[in-house]
Amino acid sequence: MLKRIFALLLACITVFTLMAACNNAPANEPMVPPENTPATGTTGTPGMSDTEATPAPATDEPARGGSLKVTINSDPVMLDAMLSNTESEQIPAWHIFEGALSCDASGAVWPGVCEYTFENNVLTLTAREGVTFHNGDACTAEDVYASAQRWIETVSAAKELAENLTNMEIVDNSVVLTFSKAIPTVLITVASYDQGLAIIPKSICEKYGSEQIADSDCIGTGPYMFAEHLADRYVLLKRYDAYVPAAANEGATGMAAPKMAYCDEIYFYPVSDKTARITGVQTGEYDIGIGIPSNMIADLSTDPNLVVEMRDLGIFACMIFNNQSGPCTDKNLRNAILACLDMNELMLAAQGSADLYRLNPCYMMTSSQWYVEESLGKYNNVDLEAAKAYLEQSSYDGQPLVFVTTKDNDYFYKTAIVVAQMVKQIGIEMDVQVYDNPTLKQYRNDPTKYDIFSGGLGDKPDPTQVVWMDETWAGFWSNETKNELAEQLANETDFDKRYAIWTEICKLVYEEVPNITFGERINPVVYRNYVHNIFDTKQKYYWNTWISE
Amino acid sequence: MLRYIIRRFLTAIPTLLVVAVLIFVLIRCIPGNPAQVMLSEDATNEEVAAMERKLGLDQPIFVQFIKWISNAIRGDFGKSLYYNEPVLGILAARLGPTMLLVLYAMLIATTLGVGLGVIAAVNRGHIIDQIAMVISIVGISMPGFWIGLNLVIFFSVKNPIFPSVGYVTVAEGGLSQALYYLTLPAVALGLQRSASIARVTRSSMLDVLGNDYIRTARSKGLGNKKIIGLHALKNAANPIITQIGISVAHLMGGSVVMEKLFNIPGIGRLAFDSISRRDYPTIQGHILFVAVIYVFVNLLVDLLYKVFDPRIKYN
Repeated sequence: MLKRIFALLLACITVFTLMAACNNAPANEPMVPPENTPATGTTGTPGMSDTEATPAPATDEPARGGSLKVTINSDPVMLDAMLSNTESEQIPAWHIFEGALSCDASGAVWPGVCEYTFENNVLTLTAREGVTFHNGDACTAEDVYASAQRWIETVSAAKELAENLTNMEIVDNSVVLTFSKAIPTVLITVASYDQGLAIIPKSICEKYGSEQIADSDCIGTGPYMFAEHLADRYVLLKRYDAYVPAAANEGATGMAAPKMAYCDEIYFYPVSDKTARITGVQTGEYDIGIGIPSNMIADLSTDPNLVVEMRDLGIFACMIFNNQSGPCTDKNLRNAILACLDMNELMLAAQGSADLYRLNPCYMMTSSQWYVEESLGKYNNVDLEAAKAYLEQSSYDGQPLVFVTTKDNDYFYKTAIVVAQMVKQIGIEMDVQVYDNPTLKQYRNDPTKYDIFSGGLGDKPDPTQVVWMDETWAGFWSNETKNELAEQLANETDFDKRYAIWTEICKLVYEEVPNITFGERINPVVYRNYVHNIFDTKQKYYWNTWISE
Repeated sequence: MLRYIIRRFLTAIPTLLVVAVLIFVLIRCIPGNPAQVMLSEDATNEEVAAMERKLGLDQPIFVQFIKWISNAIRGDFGKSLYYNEPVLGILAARLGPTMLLVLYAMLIATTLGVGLGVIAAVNRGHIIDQIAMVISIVGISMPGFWIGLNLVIFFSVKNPIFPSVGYVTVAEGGLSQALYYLTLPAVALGLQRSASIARVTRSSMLDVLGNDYIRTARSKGLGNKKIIGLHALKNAANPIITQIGISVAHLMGGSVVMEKLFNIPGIGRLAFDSISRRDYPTIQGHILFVAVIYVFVNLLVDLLYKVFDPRIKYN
């Protein structure tokens, strides 16, 4: 009997393996002939190789059709664009929904679902002609009003705007928002990718209120509509054939550009493991993978089936001091640390390659209109003598400074280790404590737990939104001059004057050194050579991507 | 036997209760606030506090525990803080991939492990024995992710025979498609597990092969195949079954590394993600589920002993 059992087991395993090995994945469906529609963005440069390659299609003409398979970092909890606060949620959500307004690659505001005027503290939003929701209903002023109402009740940035909102009403098919004073951030907040004013049907707003919208009720005006969400497997969006691109946005860039929805459908696969993402793209399970380890770029670039490109990430690697208590409240100690830091070495450690970072003394991207180069000569200026002089003037007693970091973001850990080595040259000891990300997030809000913590701060559309401007944010930088300048920035509407105020704030940061930014991170993206026109901004979107095989 | 089974389940209840209390307390001792994890980087302390109130995390731990255990007894393990869906439903949705992977992996592990162990025992002292044991030592020593990575490189990237990632349900693509996607992770897991099964099989077989009744059987002229298959392996089965049972229970708890590497939406990956997110109800539900699996598998193993050794009585 045992012999029979053993023989049966062996037979089963043989059969299973044969069944599995003989099975073929289904082939892609043939492509629909391309239409003559314009496109923006790049197609990238194929990797150089002498080996036989699957020939890349020799056309830049967009082609409609096909199924695009992209990766996101985790399974989205919700697809409610108004409430989503993680990239994994925002990427698919903004394919379904559109904002009342939109931002281009430089941060300028364009129409979205609505045309707009903004004069004398009055914002008027008028839904564009022909805009419909995925259920076929026309988008009306009532929908815009209901969306705005929900937005100011649930989103914290909108609540701040609403503190100065004196009236909101529907006038002649437009929604008119009247503010009590000039607020320079109104348009940028409405158009924000991060919890901006997404236009949702009135019925859905009333049904859900401040609660997140269920996937099946995610009915937007976007170029793609919700089809399916299998938890931990994929989110599937299908093209909304009745979508009408915004003609007024012709020539705009980034997310404000007209949306052409070339692909029939887009699969968003949650893949948290980098290796799985990359091997998936190499074998064709996925078409696009984001975030490759730097040591794989060279190998992937030689694969003739793949294209590797760099994309701005909009994230600044940095370290934040405890400005509330402990030895780092001493400005001289902070300056001493800054004077030891070689930013090139730090960013090379963080990113692994000189192609994957940009030195930047400011918390705004170099491509941003808010970029300020001024750093009082202190950024990336290693001067150990000056550092020692600062240290002598400080009250540092030789006790190790607690530097809290995490390996969950490996660049956090790498920069912490390098900083510890650099400051050791002048006698500053660091106790680098490594935790997981949730623990880091908790500890950084407790001034008794750290002296310094690793940070990765995101680029913001307006300097008033930079996190450390708020003295209650971790790091707790409280400074009267900063507060005065922030108040001026929040109330001034002229860009040149605002830029001058922001420049003063940036100088203050280098006088007081409440935190230190190392540089701007760049992200490698790998995609199959039949994919064209992927996003060219830090926001990731695929409505103008097409595939041809 | 029925009374024995019922008694086993009843004695499992205090075990599960202890596990529940321990897990409830231990995960709340880990630093990290679920409300903070769920909110963005810019979240203010007020927003974190509001989220804590919404999730019920502002209540005293004792109150939270009473509420949770009284619901758990009725089969309600609460809602995931992250997904806002019933924990049981979330676990059930992810059980399928893990079960199929475990079954496939154990099929490979058992066949390979028992076969290797028997060959090694029968050829004790010969080069075949040494080769078999070296293979098993290497299998035990090699990290699972390393085996998995090498399989992906060789069988997916360099030679596209199997997919490198992904999962298809039986309902969607049929059994062959489902197995196609699970072959590489199953082989990686199976190879690892087969190593320990091989060693236990060899050890157990050597014990049995040294017994008098085996010598008697040989002297009576029985063939080697009958001696090994009919007499020796049957009497050596109990430790092997125990090892197989331990492996099954361990894998059913979730093969985190393989599920992440191959992007399989199983309960292992769910457990890892839940811990990263401090999703307390899901972590509690998962660990209780694993405890139940261990109880069930242990019972099954004990019942299987009688199949191979009729002398065993349950009283």
